[in-house]
Amino acid sequence: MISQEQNDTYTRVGRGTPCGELLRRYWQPVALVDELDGPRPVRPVRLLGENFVLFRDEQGRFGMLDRDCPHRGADLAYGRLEAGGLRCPFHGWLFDATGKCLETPAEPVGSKLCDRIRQGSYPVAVRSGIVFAYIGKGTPPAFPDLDCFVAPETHTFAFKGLWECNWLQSLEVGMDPAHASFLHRFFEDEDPEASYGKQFRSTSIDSDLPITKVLREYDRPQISVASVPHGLRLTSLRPIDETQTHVRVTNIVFPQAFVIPMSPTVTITQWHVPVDDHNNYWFTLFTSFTDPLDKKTMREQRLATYPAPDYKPLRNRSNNWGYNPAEQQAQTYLGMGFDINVHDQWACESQGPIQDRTREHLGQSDKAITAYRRLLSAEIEKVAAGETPLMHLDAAQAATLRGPVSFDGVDRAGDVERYWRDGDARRRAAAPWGAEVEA
Amino acid sequence: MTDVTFILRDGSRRTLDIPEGSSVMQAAVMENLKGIDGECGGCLSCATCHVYIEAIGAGELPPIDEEENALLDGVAAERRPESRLSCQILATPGLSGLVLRVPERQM
Repeated sequence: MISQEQNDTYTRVGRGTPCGELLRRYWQPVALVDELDGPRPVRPVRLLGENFVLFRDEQGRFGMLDRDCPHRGADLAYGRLEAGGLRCPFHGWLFDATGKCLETPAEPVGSKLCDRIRQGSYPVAVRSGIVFAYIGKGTPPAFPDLDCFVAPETHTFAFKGLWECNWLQSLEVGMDPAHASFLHRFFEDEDPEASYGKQFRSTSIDSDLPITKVLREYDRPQISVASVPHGLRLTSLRPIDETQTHVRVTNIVFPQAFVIPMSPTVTITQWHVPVDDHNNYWFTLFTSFTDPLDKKTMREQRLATYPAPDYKPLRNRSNNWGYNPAEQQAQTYLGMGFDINVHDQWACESQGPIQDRTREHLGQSDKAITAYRRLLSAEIEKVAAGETPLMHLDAAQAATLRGPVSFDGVDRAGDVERYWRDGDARRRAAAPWGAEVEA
Repeated sequence: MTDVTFILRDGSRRTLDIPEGSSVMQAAVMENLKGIDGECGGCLSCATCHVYIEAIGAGELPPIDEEENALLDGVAAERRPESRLSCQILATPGLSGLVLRVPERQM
């Protein structure tokens, strides 16, 4: 339970708000590279309550500019992509990817107006199929050498989806290991072999237990939270019997991503990026430690329920997320189908546009949430005091980060930390792309 | 309404006028008083609203029951004879003048 004032501090992210200023100190995912692959690579972007236009010029360079034309405010997202930039269809003003005004064709010959105009432009970087932008003050941080950024293009796949609620409640579901035993419970286990590219369908490492069975039958995880250089590490233990313990290691990469295992060989890194105070996009990067990913299959699976161009899920509040009481009775705990993304989406969206945390009651299984909020408070205060927040890295610091370890397996030796560290190291040693071990 | 004074970690004092029936923890959290967390919202599962009783007004505090006693064993700061969980202290007019000290830490 927190006060209204505290809840506002965490959830309001417009320019000038304390948390908004913190989040502006990081690279933010703004689009999939896929979105700028078509015949007209121009996309409107709304990020942290501000409007931009992202485009790729004729030479393939990315640019992100303020969306309103500096002439009379018309919408550059409807611009003409030509002549080395993006042209406003209102009076033909032309801007390049850096925001430089190249032409104001209606002005008299010899006019210098163009030289004195500069459209707001923002640094853009592409990593692993995601376009990131930096809209904060000063120099952008360096990208850390985490698996999802280090792995080759063949071994990563990126996708995104819209959730109609605040970013923080969406991120908080990613640091809540207990919910998976309930919200994602299936009454029968699928054949893991037939579940390529889906979450929570595989077997745990070193066992023949489907993860769905572990979650269903062992529902009181012992959760511990550790502070680590990238944020938080969560370890969830589910004792199965006297000799076996199910171990799941997950992470928060501060400020906005979690890293979790999808299968023994694939991890998920997922950002929750505020569109504004009431909406956020999740951006997920799948990273494989073994075979190249079948991107076509993974993309088609997801586009079927998160159609382009807005990636708004077909199941949403307007149709009760497809809720089916008969299914809830017989097949799933929630009754909204077998895609666990929908389950999480319902949990978060049903809390309302911004969860009223003055009415919550956190339990011991929510300890990572309270640890994260403490961290968020501390880093918000650092930025307000003019200091550099956690994970706003320089190049030297960024090069020291690895991993992070995310792991799902069954320990039989009674030393869980050694178990997941050894298991992770073996997986990395076998990876074709030289994944290094986290310190 | 009940006047309850908190001595904060920096030594400053802050007095809240708490409506009857509200818990001291709830009032402190809703007023953003630093040092009282109250994560569980008052359902006796977190022990993050620990306080030391400095002075009692005219009335009497409710006795410590078994559950509060067990949780007090797990508070992050030192448990002292004057330790209480502020979620278990409901404001009554008789308690006006209560003075509480915020402990060094709750986690």
